[in-house]
Amino acid sequence: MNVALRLYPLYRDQGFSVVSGLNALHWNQRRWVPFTKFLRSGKSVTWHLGISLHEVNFLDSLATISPARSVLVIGNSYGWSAVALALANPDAKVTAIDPALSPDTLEGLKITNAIAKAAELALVAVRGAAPQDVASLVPEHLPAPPDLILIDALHNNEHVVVDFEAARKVASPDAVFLFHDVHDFNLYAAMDHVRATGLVVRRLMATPSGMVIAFPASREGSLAPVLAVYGPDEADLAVIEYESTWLQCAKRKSKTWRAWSRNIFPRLPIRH
Amino acid sequence: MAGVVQEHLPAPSDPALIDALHENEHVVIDFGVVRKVASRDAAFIFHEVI
Repeated sequence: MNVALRLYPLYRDQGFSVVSGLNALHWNQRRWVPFTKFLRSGKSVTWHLGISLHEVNFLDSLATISPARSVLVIGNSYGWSAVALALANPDAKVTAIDPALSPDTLEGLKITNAIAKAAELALVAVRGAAPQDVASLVPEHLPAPPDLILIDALHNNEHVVVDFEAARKVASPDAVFLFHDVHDFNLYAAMDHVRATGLVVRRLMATPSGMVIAFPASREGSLAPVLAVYGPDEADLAVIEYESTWLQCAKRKSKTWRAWSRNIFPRLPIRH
Repeated sequence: MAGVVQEHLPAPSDPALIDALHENEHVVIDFGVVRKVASRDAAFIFHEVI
């Protein structure tokens, strides 16, 4: 069964209702609504957001074509990603680390472990910070170097680089790295660093946060199906950018623009 | 519609996805037509309602 269909009941059984995957256009253009909110007794339990429903489906798709054996998650919050990865990769051991500096993230560690126990998942969420605790926690909890790492902790370039380097030291040589919120938080400087290590870096612009996947070139073939769906070609994205720009102009209220949008714009060549 | 469904589907449709003209009148017409050839317990999915 699809990961998302199994994920929701696990949180419901812990007393939460979950809302994810909403369309920002329907909710006052609020850019956070595609992501996951955890509610209890009619209130939001944390300001942290889980990855979007669409991104859960991405993880499911990734696992379908390239199942992981050992998964590290840096940044746990309420365990939404970690549990999704555990469900998607049933033969893998998953460890999520989080410094849990606030009461809600501390509760998040407990909730994650409660779900793991209830669903008999090979998942453990531990309190620890990257980079200083990664080298000790990973061998303690994962039987093998992680071959899939999700970095979703502090969203600034400096910390992403630090988290990546800490994970890279313990990762398997063929490890795949996933970075959440790269486009949304403009973490491209960190991605330049990742690229400089020799990994192939691909934007996944068909994910709501603009995730990035980085992998050794040897894995490109096996990952091709999921890259084709979630990582549209940059040339194709340029067409989308161009068309969305012209459509934006066409919506202006001036008569001149309306006339131009009907008569002139459709005749202009599409920019490639 | 009835002829097309009988020619190409081995059984009454279930589910049915309606994603054609996005106006209330047309959606009602499409639904009415599909309902006649759908199975009794069919699920209907309508795209772009909001």
